[in-house]
Amino acid sequence: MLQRNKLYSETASMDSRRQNITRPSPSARRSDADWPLCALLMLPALLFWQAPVQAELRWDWGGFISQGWSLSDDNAFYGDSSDAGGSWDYRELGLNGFLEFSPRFKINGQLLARKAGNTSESSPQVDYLFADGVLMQRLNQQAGIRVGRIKNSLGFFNETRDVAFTRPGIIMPQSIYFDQVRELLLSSDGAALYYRHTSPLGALFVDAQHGYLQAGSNSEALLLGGDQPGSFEDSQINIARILFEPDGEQWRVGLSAVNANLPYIPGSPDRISRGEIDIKMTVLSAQYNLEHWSFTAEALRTKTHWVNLNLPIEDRRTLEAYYVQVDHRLNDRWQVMARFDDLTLNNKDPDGKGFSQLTGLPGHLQFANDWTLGVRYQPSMRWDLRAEVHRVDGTAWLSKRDNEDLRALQQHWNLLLLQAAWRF
Amino acid sequence: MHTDINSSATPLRDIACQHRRTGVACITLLYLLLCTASQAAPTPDGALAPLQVYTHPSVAAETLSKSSLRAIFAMRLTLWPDGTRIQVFVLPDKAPLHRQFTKSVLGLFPYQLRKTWDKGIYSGTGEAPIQVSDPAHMLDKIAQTPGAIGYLRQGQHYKGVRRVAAQ
Repeated sequence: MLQRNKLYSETASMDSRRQNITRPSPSARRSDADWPLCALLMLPALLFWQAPVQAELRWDWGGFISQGWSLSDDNAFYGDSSDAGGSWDYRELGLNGFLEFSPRFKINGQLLARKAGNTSESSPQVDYLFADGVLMQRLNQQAGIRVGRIKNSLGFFNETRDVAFTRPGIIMPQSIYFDQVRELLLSSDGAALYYRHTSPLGALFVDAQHGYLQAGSNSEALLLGGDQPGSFEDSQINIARILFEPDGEQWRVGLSAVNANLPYIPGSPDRISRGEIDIKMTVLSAQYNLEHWSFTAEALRTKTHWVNLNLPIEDRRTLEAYYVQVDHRLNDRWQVMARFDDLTLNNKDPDGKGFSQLTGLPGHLQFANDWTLGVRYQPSMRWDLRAEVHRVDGTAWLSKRDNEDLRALQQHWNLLLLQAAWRF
Repeated sequence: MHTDINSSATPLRDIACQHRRTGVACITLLYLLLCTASQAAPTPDGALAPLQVYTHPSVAAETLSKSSLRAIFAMRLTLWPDGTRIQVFVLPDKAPLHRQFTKSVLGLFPYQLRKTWDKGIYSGTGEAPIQVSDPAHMLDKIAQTPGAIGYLRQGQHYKGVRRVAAQ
């Protein structure tokens, strides 16, 4: 989104740019399937439409593109990475923009095409598209409402998990942000309230969100053990997040709480009966920033309750995950990082022995810990080049769609990732 | 150009007018002069003048707290109390003046601001400020844009802008 930072020359003044509204914003290119979303986000326009204080229609757009390459000794990650030539099946293309009707009312949108092995299709999706209205603003506090498709406000990184420039590595820490739960974590269609308060003590950010999830076959694979004849319908999510940055902003701490409900409607025939899945997630986040160093840690606990589904598994399970990451900025261009990331799918069965006895599948499907070392080079604002090595024990976050034969998975495996990203 | 820093202001302004019409050499000379004039502005003891926050004259605020300034430059506070939009101008991330402003006035590191702006851009919840190439353009933009805010080394004779005390 560099044109937002464009060096304004004498010939292209900001004012002349701003009057140019002939180029389409990404929000104008949504697909037909999203018309309820559009109707939803026009709603606040009625509330916030007023004679604008500054009669100026502002807009801007930008985007990014990234291409990754993965190579592993065993197991497939983002495509057939254990093949001799590695896999190129990891790329992202985003187009985003906004249209501001008045200083208090704005529409924001992003189209995203993402390919990540067999977990993400590369067809463009509406990543977010919402109306944002400012309800109250003073010099020390601000409140507003967003309506439409909104990124779920979870932890430090969820809202920008698919953007190479804002990710803490080539891949997100898979323990907390793992790809199989994308559908549940990515975004929801509904409304969100935000409140920000600054005082000499620090800055406080509160987000509260309610909406419908796009729970589909990835969620079925994750929660019901595979693609099922029936489907989840009207899955809903509630999210609350509090972030606090004590004065000085060296520290950032956060607490996110999520409650998701996925009613299952069986197909016919279906071995699963009508019921629902309740998911409660709690994420604790902390970060300490120095000029050349950043220390980040997040921890997640997810309680999942399968209600009346008649599945041959325990009906309650608790997942535990955390990661710790250190970033070191050597100079303006070079950065190195180290991360330890740990995921246990069932805290009562951390080594997966019980799971193995019950299912006959390898126990290492129930956990994963990942040591990562990475280097990042940013030759300019537009470019971001990274390389990472991962040493992984366990296969819990590997995609079951990239690895269909679960018995063939290796517990100890290594992964090399490269990525180039460019933004405009 | 509004860089009426000292008695050489008149020739400077003349050069500024010509530069719109004439060639590269003139632009370079002007750039050097303007940079020297608005960036260095030495105090009697030879030290650099302190950094100050400046706004467009239409902005009513006379003092801004450090926490409000942080919220403004992080693009989290978007409206002045009268409802006009806050237009933030910054120098490039690597500019020494930007670093100094970020660190000494806001108490942040430039990379923290950049992360906050990026998160806003890519989640639709915010924007990045407008980046200007040098202090002379910063002064111009603040003077021309209603609701504008930026930072410069303190100068006694800046025209068309208003100094705001940072608390």
